[in-house]
Amino acid sequence: MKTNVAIIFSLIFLFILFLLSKFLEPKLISIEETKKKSYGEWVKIRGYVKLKKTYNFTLVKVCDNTDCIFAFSKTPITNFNLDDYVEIIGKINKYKEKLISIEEVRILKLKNG
Amino acid sequence: MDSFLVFLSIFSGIIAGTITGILPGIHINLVASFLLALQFGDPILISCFIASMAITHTFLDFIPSVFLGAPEDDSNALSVLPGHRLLMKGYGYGAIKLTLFGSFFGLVLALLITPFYILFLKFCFPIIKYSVPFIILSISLFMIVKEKKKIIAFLVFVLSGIFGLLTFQIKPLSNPLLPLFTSLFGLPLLYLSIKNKTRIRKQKIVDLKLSKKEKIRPLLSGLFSSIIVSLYPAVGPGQAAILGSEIFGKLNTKEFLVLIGSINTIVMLLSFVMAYQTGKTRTGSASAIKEIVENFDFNFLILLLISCFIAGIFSFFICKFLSRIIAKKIEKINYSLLCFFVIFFVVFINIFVSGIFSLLILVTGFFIGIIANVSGIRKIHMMGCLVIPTVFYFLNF
Repeated sequence: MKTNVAIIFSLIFLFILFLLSKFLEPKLISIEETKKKSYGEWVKIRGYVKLKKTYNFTLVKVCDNTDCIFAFSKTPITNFNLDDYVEIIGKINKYKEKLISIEEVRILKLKNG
Repeated sequence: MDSFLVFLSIFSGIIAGTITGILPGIHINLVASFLLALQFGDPILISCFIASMAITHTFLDFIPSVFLGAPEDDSNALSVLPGHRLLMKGYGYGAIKLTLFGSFFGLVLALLITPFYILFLKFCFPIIKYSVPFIILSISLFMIVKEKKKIIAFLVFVLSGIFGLLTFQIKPLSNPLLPLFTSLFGLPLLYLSIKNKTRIRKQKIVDLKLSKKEKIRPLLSGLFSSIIVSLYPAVGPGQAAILGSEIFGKLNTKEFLVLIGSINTIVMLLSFVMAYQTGKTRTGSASAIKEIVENFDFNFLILLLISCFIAGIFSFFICKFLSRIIAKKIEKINYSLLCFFVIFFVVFINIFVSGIFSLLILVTGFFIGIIANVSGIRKIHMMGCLVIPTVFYFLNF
């Protein structure tokens, strides 16, 4: 195989990877199951917001019927409030205990909605 | 703690490390993450198991990288070429013995410098962590400037970087490092071995003699390089080895193998010391231990270091024994068929561990790896797959 051919195929497959990175989502799991995940793994959870602190970052505690977990975003997130039902996609991380580094938050049901 | 159980854990770790070391595609991080997921057993015993498995793995994993050209991660990816070159000349066993020499004396050196390393981390680590993105980028650019085909080297570095960034963003993918390294460093070489109808000649069971200078220089260079690797994430042993050889003088093939062997083991041992002193983990094994042990104190560190030393002594003899057997048999094996089998095996392991999307990662990385292999540049530029994501992470992109 020649270098030029390998370069062209690399670019094609990188483009496919780019598309997949935009559209693929991790499997929905319970909060209890996130505790068994390794650091750096992607997770998707759903739960009620039970605590929310927003400064120049956001820290939330999300609970479902199995357990609770903290989720953290480096940037402030203001579009949801306490007791909203949310879906969070993020990576398992650690700060004293396991938490989720938030990539995306979707509001599924507002407290007063 | 019953010392019998501690020894049992250490010896179980040695057996597990031997298996993960000689089987291509099975990484210790995989076993460690299984243990974490199962959440059973005494944390101290599990830690001794993981530490001894990790050290044994660093001794044994040169067997597949030299005999099959199938590296498992960045730690031994760079040994593939010089080791393979010696294999083609009939000195595969001698090549393994050189890495063994490096691993064992690297382990001893690392144990000796541990008190100084702890002091060094105590005073210097807070400053060092701010320099991470600039240092790792500078090292990578330095490697590119040293290359004859600078444009291709730069292209491979950038493509690998984009590849790394995208791989870490594929959300259903577990253990992304496995397909990342298999595809860039393993599959292209296996493919080229099949394509070129590589035949392995009869192996000579002889030691490759080293002069006193050839023994000391790579070990000192290895120690220096390992400290760099332990401090800077995304700087692989290969990059540090080349950096070390620039400082300590150009190393020949034999010295390079001693160097790579020593770095592999020293980095693993120092990662436990780093976890104790700073709480930061640079290897999957240190990360797993830190996760399961609540009180990572000095006594516990000593226990881990003793486990590593015992594992090192046994691994030396196990590796010597196994490489001798493999070297005697390998010429009788249909090498192309073996490479086919290894490809199927590592692809299966990747799908099993990382999921079906790892196939796409394998194909993409394979083509980037082919560019580096066919154009004859150093494979080190493919470490862009870790360097660029790390720089992005530290600069908050």
